[in-house]
Amino acid sequence: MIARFDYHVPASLDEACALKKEYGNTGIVVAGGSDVYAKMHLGDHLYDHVIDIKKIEDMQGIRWSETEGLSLGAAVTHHEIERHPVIKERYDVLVQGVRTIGSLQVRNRGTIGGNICTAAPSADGIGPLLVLDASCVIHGLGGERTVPLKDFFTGPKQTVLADDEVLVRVTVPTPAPSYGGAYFKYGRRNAMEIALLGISVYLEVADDGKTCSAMRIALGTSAPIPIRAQKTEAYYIGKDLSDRQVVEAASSIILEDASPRNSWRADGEFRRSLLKLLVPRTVRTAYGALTRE
Amino acid sequence: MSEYTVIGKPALRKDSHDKVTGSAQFCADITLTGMLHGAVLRSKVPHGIIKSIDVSAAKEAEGVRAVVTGEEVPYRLGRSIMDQTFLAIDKVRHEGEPIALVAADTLEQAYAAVRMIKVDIEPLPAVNDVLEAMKPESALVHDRLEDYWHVDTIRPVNGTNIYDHFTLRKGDVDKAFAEADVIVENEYDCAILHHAAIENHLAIAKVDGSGKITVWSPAQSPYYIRGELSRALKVPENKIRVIVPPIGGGFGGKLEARAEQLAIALAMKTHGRPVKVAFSREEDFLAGTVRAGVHFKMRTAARKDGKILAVESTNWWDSGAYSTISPTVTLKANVILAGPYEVDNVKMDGYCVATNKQLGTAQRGFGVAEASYAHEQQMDAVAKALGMDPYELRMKNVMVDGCKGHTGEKMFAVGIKECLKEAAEGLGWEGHPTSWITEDGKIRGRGLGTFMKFTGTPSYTSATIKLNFDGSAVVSYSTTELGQGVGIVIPQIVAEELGIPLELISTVQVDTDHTPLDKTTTSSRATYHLGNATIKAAEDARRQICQWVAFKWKTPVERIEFKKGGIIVQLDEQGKPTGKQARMDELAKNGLIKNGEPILGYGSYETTNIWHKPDPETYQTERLTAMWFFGANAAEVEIDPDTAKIRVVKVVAAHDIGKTLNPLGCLQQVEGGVIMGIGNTLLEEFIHRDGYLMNGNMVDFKIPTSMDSDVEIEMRLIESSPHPEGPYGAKGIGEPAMCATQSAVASAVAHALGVPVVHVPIKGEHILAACRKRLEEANDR
Amino acid sequence: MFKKEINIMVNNEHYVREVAVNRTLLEFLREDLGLTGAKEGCNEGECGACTVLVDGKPVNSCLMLAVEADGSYILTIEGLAKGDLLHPLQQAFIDEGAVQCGFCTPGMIMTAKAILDEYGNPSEKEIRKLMEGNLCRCTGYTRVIKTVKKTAEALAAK
Repeated sequence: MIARFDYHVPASLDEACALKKEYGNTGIVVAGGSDVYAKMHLGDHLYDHVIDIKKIEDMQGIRWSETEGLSLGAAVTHHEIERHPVIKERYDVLVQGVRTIGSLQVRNRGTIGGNICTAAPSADGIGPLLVLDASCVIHGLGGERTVPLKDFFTGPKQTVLADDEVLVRVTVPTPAPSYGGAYFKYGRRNAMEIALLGISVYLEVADDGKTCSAMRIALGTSAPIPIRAQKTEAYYIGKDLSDRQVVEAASSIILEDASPRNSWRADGEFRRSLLKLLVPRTVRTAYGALTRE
Repeated sequence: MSEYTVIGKPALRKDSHDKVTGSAQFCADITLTGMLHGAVLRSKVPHGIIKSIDVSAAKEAEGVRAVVTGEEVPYRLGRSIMDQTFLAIDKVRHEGEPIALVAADTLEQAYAAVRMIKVDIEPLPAVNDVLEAMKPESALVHDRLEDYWHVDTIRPVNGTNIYDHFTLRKGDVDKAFAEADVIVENEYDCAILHHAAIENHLAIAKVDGSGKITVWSPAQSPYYIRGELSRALKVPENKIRVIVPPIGGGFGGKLEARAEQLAIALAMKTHGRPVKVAFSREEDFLAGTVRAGVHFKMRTAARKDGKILAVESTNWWDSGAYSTISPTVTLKANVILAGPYEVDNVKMDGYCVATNKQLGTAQRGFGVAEASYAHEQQMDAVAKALGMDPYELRMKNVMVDGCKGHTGEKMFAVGIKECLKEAAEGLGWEGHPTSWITEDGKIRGRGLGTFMKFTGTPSYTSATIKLNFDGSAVVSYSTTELGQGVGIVIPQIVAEELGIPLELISTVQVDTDHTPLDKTTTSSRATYHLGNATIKAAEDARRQICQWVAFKWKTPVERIEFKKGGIIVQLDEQGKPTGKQARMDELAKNGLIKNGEPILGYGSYETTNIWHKPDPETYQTERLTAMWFFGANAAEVEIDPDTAKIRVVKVVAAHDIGKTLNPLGCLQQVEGGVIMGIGNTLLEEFIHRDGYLMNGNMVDFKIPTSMDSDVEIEMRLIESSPHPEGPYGAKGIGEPAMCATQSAVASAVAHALGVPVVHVPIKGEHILAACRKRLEEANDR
Repeated sequence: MFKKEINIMVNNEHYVREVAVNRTLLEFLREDLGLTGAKEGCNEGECGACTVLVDGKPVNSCLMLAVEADGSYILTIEGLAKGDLLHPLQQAFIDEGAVQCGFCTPGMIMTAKAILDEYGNPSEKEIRKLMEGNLCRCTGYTRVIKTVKKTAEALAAK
């Protein structure tokens, strides 16, 4: 039973932005609804207005070209992403991430835009996009702007979106021809889980096949917002990734990037121990998954 | 060649067709004409004094037909202690406790009206921990336990939070410990967990002009609930009718009345209009029932040759805000807490304790899974202390026929030795290490878990078989179908006994106005008890059939013989067949019972006479139960040392079934029980903070998904110890696989890591350090 | 708007109905159309008992508004059999003993149907992954997964 609300289906971005601005805290922008309607089910009256944006033309579809890279409409579902042949081939780390979101049923409704805008530190779709250097195309009543995804989150469940702004698309540059990517989710169950830790890695190596030339690491549920582990990334640059000890030595640095907190779901100490073990392990996995021309 | 035609062969359940087409009507699917919808105002705090309730706005709200508060329904429930009212009066004792009710034309209106009720509660400190609750300075959940009526078999302690103190004394424990070569002492605890059937609690109630109350509810034990409601409402049982639609899972959680009393409270004010009260998932977690948490202190004494000399335990069961049937859980666990081993000296003190948490009650095993975990960890610890193989230690001590049980009774039909042997063999125990590192750096371990359990006694049940002229039969009983398969095993028995094809036998919806008396659907008891009653009902039907055939054939009834397979034979004066015969499966054609009096076979089975009341201090008795049953699981686990995540690779489940009636049904119970047991062991727990439940939803209360269940399960049904009084020798299989899974998995983890498992569920944070240590030790070698 | 007219096909029957916008697809199917095969188990998209197919895709109907299904074709468990002829998955669930209490069964079968339609003959491992959103407390999933795999194989062999 969802408490009564007024339902709006804007046909255009401007209309959506105007509604969002008009209703402010009394309204909620919804796409797939897998988070919002679950929350609204609890019986309490949360929102007077639901603004359903998922039919807006600009938010639809997956576009890709070698030169332009990938452009995901905010209303693209997780299942569309996990089944898309180009994404599977070129952006596998993103597939690894979204595949762990909810269930097939949830992935058929939930959207990538929703996953980003809900801005949960545990979001499985965000980490892979962070390491793929994604950007957000934002539309507001004053026009359009593009914000790198790593700058999109401003605090717990807070984003840069202004009162009159919505996320329209997510763009992802074409990754290097040879790179390694991996997503590791730690949850107690093997499915239907909120990540207690989510680790995303993107790496490139020099021509010798082992010296790290690019490293991007994103951490979920390790800070109030999804973060990049910049100190750890810097450590890896120039290092020999085929040397297990060298890879594992990063465990002494990782806690300079991350600050997992205590919660009833798991205490911080345990999460810190896991980070130290699992970040190097995910780097190893990514290294092992290097695509070669 | 089997001596049976139907018994022992796989049979498909009769209700599947409706369940795969969506036409099976569960309680939630029933809409009665004029039906109103109820909603519940629940306490947001775990403990507090109700200062005031203002329902005036709710009463005036759109569509509202009835509003009820606690003082209007001051009826008390409680099988052990009558400590629970329908709605909170004066005080709330757990988060989610119902305070007020609304019935309205639509559910939306009912919810809206509930939100208009103003309740002022002054919070009290919550009794949040079972050991804290035992301290003299603890706040009291119930100020005056002594004011409540209680059954004379339990001993509430006034001025404390103790619902019951159970004691068992056998032999001389102090002497045994003094003489022991090895003493192993440990503490273990198990978290509170929820049954989490996929169907939540709900009920529809209707009160007619004569005051008769009809309830539709997925009650596991409708006669139990009828009795509870009758005692609470002080109306005769014949004024209450419980109708049971298909049940969407029970596991003990649907034993107690939860939604029933709320629907009735509303229906008493709606002038004959039925009211449905359906719990949301959140309500089901907060205000359904749970498996109590427990803390065990265990001490075991052994001789150096491995003989277990004594087992002693004090344990505390976190039974929550109201006692329900939890003293029985404490009792059942303590009776078997020394394990299925011959132990001459046993001393148990079990405390059933009140806290401001959800209500502890029966869950598949009645405390035996938790007890098995504790006694098996002790066995592993003894084995380690003595340098003995854990299997050998167990085999050396297992009970055998004729031995003296923990309650002093002479044991018979004891199948544990064979079970343990088969379980270990299935895993390839002999000569294999119990801990090793795989090539890819994972830690593996193997373990064993045994259990013994008794079925609730004294007990009773009954069945009728109605024979139709067309040769079909209808069997009625009030044991409910919760998915366990009673709805096929009973028709199998009828088919076997009467020679009627299985497809011509149907069952009846359980309805206390129509289907015969049954105590309960719990305790792995249905096949044994109802099977016996059904055999008797079939005997009665056969007697009546023979009378009719004698009449039709103008033959004295002594010369009519009903033979196996349903062949009715005429005998001559010498007792030789005359050649004249008829077949039961041709009743439609041969017209033998056509146009006669209805044939209605009746049979009942009860165990009052075989039960001897145990001594209240020592719990020693001549015979405690109709049926003991035993089993052993062997498990192999793999632990990822980087994540401390445990994967159960294989479970061999060997169970003392006595006689298999439906192998497919047994397989379903065993596979389901093993996975549920794995969930209990690795994933499931209630997490409280100051009495508040943190994880009352399906995301955060983690029952296994298909991704957590990829376990090789091998079932071995042990028929070497048939029960002399069981139907065809059968015992029960509902609880066994689960009872021995927690202990086997914990044993495997403990062996893998070389440290005891002291907390269940076993979480990463408990074992990560041990994993790293185990890995380092291996690398050092 | 608080109410909206929707135009919807359910199990090959066409409906035009006015629904409250806060009504879920599950409530619409169960209460307005009397199709009670899909069950409410959690209303939070976790248990999958409410699974129906929307334009061929399995969704949790508890987390979808009825108005969102406007213009869609819905298949529920009631529409799966062709008259008296059960769908092979339904028959297999009976024959292989994949049904116990049966409360999760309609959702299980609808997800399985969508998986077979989309993936053809997936491996047992893939089936486990794709069935992750249908919780069951009775069976331990063993029979269910085996049954779906067996049916997939039988259909693929045709």
